[in-house]
Amino acid sequence: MSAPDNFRSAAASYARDAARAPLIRAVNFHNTPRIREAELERQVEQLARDFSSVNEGELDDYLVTGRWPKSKPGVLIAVYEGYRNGYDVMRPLLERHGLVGWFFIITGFIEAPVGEQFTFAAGHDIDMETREYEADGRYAMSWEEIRELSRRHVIASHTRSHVSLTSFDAEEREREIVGAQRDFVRHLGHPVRCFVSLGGPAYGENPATDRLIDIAGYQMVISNLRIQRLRSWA
Amino acid sequence: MFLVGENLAAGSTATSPSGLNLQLAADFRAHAVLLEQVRPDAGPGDVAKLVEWLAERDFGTTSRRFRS
Repeated sequence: MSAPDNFRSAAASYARDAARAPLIRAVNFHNTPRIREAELERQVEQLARDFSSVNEGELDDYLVTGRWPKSKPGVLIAVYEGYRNGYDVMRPLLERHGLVGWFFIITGFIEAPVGEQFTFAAGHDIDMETREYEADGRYAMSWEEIRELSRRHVIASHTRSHVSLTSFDAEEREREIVGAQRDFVRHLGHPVRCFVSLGGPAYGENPATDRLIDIAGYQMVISNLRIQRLRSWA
Repeated sequence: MFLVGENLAAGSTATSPSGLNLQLAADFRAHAVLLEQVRPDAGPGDVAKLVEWLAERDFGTTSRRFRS
């Protein structure tokens, strides 16, 4: 499989797949500062009213069977990057409304020294809306917070550096894909199941990237238009 | 966003299209034709933007169209 190189073929490919494959609604959150808490709560409340959030096991089953067992449609609620306000603001909102979030973590952001995280963000396409944590300079979640999140929510890999994989050489690409998984194993005690890079590629579009995803042992890959189940998960 | 699910593992299970599949595919096709007419320079990346727009409309309170 190679990525379509023009709009018409890409659109035809998506329409063909959308007509027959299991579809997963996904809603994406990125920076969720406290000043937007009321607006975020309205969105979360609406999601809870109309949808049922999906966890990893439910998604796995759905991708295998194509059947969604709940009365409300499912939704994958993605919270990107590993912002500290994902823990401070989004986590309580999701839990208050009984929803599961998928926290896609850039491990290099988490590992950046406190005090340098704002600068790290600026250099890695991590959008900063406010300086709400200026007092101590910590803008990323801590590993302790991520471990706590993992008890109720999904933790997933969003590479180490949040740079398009196509801009890396082979060694750097390995650090981004396999190295990020090693970070999760070291800090969570287990690998994570799902991998998302910045802008793709989908599995099957780049053999070198596919090989590294296999080495890292990710079960699922999410790209711009697809969520792909690669293997069973013990 | 509406993500297309794929089971690439051995023993993948075929699924039958739902109402959501048919509605989304038809609506996407219609809007893709329109987009290509007004934006002849549209590229592959615009497919994701169009899907995102359809999904945002789906999540909206006043213009929901797709139900599974």
